[in-house]
Amino acid sequence: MPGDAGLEGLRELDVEMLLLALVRAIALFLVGAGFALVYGTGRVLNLCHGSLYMLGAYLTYVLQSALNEGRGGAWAISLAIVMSSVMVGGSTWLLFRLLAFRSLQEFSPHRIMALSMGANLVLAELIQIWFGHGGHPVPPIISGKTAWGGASVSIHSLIVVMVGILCFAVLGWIMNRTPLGLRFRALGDDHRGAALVGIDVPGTVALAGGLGGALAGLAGGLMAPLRVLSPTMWIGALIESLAIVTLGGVGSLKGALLAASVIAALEVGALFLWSAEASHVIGLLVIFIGLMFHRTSP
Amino acid sequence: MDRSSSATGKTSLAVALSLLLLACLGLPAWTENPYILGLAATAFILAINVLSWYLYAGPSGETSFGHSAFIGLGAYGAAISWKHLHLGFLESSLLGILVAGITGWGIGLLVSRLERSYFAIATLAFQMLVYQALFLFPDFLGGEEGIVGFPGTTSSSRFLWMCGAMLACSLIVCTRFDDGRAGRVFRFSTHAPGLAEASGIATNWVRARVFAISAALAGLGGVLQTSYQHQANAALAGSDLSAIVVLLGLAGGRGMVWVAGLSICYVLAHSFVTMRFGQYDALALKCGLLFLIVLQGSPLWAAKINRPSTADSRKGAETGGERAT
Repeated sequence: MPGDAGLEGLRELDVEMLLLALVRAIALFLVGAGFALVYGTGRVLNLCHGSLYMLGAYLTYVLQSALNEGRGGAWAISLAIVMSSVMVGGSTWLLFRLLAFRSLQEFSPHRIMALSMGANLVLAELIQIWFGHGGHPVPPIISGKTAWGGASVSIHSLIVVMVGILCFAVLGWIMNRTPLGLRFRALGDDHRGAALVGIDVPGTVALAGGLGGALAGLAGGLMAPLRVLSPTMWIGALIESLAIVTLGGVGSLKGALLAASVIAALEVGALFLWSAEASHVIGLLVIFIGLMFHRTSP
Repeated sequence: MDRSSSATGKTSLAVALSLLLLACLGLPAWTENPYILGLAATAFILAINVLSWYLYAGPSGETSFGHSAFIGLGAYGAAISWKHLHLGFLESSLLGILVAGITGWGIGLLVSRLERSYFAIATLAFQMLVYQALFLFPDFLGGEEGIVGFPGTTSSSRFLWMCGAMLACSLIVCTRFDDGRAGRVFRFSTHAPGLAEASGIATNWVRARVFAISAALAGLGGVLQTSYQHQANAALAGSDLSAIVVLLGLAGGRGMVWVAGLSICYVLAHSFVTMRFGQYDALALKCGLLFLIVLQGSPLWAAKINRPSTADSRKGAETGGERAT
């Protein structure tokens, strides 16, 4: 019957929206969790986080090309994603260890914010010089689609969802069950107090920075096959990170996941009802309105 | 008032205005090359933009990452008035500045409650919101291309004079504000809000008012840029412009005249480096700005070079706070 077919179509649309929202939420969580971690422990508004995401994506592109000559074998791409995550995380750790924490002590917060924003511009210029404006295709880990609840979804998206859930579990375990997590939480409460009880504050902040960078690199690598690589992709990632911190709270993993889910649901709703631009506007409106409920920053 | 510091401020303003007058009169007499005259005009426009950012950020120490939103609002306000309301150049320009100012006042009321990181995030989010919104109604706002054909002066030298005059006015307004009672009240409201409120000052309104003036000046910069390129496009509200404004404002953060001077030098250096080094121009200059900011934050700069002027000490003592930039 035509009515049944319409109802079936609507159900497929619902499932498709749900799947898209789930993938979007996990992607948002992956990008934003690292930013929230660094902000929560180091009190550093690292506006360069978007560029770390961009670096992860471009490194994945370069590494998978080198490893597999662009043919897109699953292992080569997986290895490229892991390697780019480690490289971005390692260099962020080194940067925090060598430079940024000195800056933290010597520079005012707005100077650090401006420097990290400026670093975005410099990195974007470098990417533009080396790779140009055009998009560089990164093949998915496993290509193809699978049917789920009547709607089709790419296998790579499902891998992103699984990795995101795994990251949430591992991060939760680190934060709640390990001495490192205890140090992160102590720093989130009070830097001076943490130093008084014998915690190596610069080292722990650098570790948080490295972990945040690795998460950004991982997110960039995982999302590279689903997005067009461009020197301006840091802007979107930065917006997403800000949204997670604003709505999810500082250093809260559950909050980050909840915020990611809310924003993803609103964005996907706007995408289906209106346009892609409208979905961005909705996300930004949510951040802006959410911020009005804060008064003082940590 | 400390007479010597007031005299120093007046002297540097007088020197800046004299140099500006010299440039406006001398350049068209020296050459009729539209590229050189346009370059000077662009430098003056960027100086207005950075000056407008510094008006709020300098005394308050709060970093607004959303300043280009107001530049874009001024540009689009003028272009929309011209295209869809069929107003003339002057009326459209005034309307553009008004749109930026009124929006700035509204946003100022909201964001002035916030501090430090949240203020920065809120302004950044607002800038990105405006930027994204400019693509929402392509039939009305022109989409990627923006609104094309906004009128400007036909003569390059006349446009240079107009930009020079606007920069001079902005410099006078900003310097007088910074040195005057309004500036002191603003600093008091941002550095010691509790005390200010106890003294009967409505701190939120004071901050919103200054934010609105800053936004209106940015709107003026946006209108002038639109008039120069005969086009209002989304790049005028982009993150790149915001970041450059913030970097220049921080790097030249020893006062209004310095900020304006550094902005002019930046545009001239940009042009020079572009001719010499091609694609590496923007990279080199942005690295240079970052280096300048790092250098200014270092103890060496603080101890040897960036000693607070008498005026700064006086203002700090008056407000009980320190100048952030």
